[in-house]
Amino acid sequence: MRVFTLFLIFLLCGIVGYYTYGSFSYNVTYVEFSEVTTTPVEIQLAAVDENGNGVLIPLNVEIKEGTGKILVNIDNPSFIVDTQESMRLAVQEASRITGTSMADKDAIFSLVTGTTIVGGPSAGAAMAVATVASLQGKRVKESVVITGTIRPGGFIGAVGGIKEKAQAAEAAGAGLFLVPPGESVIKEPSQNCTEYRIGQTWTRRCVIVNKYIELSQIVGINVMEVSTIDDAIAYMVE
Amino acid sequence: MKILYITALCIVLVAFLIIGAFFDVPLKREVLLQTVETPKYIETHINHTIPVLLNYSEHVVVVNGVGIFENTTTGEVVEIIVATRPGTGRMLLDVEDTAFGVDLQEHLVYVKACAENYITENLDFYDITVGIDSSAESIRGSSGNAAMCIGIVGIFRNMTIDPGVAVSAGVSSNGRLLEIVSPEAKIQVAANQGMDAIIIPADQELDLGNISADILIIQPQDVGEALQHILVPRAGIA
Repeated sequence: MRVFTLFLIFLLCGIVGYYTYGSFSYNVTYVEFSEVTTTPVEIQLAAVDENGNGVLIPLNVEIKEGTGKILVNIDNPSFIVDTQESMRLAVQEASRITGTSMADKDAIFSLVTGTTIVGGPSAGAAMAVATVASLQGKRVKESVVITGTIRPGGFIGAVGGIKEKAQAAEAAGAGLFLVPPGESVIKEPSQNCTEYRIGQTWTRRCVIVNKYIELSQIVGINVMEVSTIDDAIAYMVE
Repeated sequence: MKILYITALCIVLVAFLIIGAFFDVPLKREVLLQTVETPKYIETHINHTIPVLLNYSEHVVVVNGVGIFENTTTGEVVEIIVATRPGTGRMLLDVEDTAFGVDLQEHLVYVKACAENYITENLDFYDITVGIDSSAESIRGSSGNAAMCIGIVGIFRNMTIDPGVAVSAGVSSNGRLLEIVSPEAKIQVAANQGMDAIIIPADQELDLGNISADILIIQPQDVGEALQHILVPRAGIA
């Protein structure tokens, strides 16, 4: 009985001691601070996966107080070098377009996707549009998807896999697909063959004929060519 | 008997008070308010309340790493810049000046896990930013990972990094130092650029026959051993 009583006292002291000794020990301070940041802007990147299928990958762009860094969140996918270079150019152009210095800000790019590696420069235009939207405190319309590289001066350059990307945009419910200049029409080669006989010899002659087809007719989505980021912003940012 | 019980109670209580003084248990809380100026472009203010140990003054450290130019035996000592700020546990890579290969990005997950072996803080409340100041346009490989892990530990221990020590090693998630490529070339480069010492993994086999370098080569098993050779107290702090 005495042992049990001592045990209870021991337990009680343990509980009391645990919650009181902290006032005499190491002080940890909770800091409440107000962090200035923009609401992350989400935009869909049109891409082609390793199987040749078009996919849309959501990208978040966030602007925070900082020192001019361009940060990529590598918690999920890795970014190939050319994609990183597109990010730099996208931030540079967004800064120029909005007239906002990035010297005291950091731009953070985050992708949430099952893909492990993201590569290629075709997301440059989308990154620039999203960065502009973030700097202006606006959002990007979900119904519009863009593909194209970003070039100095804010020009949008050519990319590949246009048809597959358009199909992915249509499947996701987008109503408008913005493409670089000259890419709203795709070339589909077809082969016309004729056979004829000369003497005892049969000859087969084939001619490759290129058909130029409006992309909007193939994928059932409105397609618009845009040559600059400023043009794209007019359709995408609200 | 009552006196005996009361005496035992007092002894146990005092014992817990003494024992508790040696443990880092955050029980005492105070709330401090910090205000931040609001740039006009920002729309959102997010209030954070996080457990932050305020016994460290700097949130950025620089650790020297060694890089070898591709297909050569020449290279440079690079500055690996590690910074932390309150966040959501993200690992961010600064691509403003330098692009990073996929292999480097994929191994960064081990850096964070490594650091957690040597600090008490919960890194889920912080964003870790890593950048490398180098003349190269892109950087590959994981030989800078040990330096990054050491940098994170240095920040949270409120210590700085010995600028005369270079680090070239990979890390595993439990802090073990992993072998690198071209160790002899890196030792030579570090010596040529004035480093006093270089940290290389203990498991690294070295052929020092062709090295003409006056440099101390330190080969610890893990980050814990390496910290003893590279962390130094901050000026003005005992």
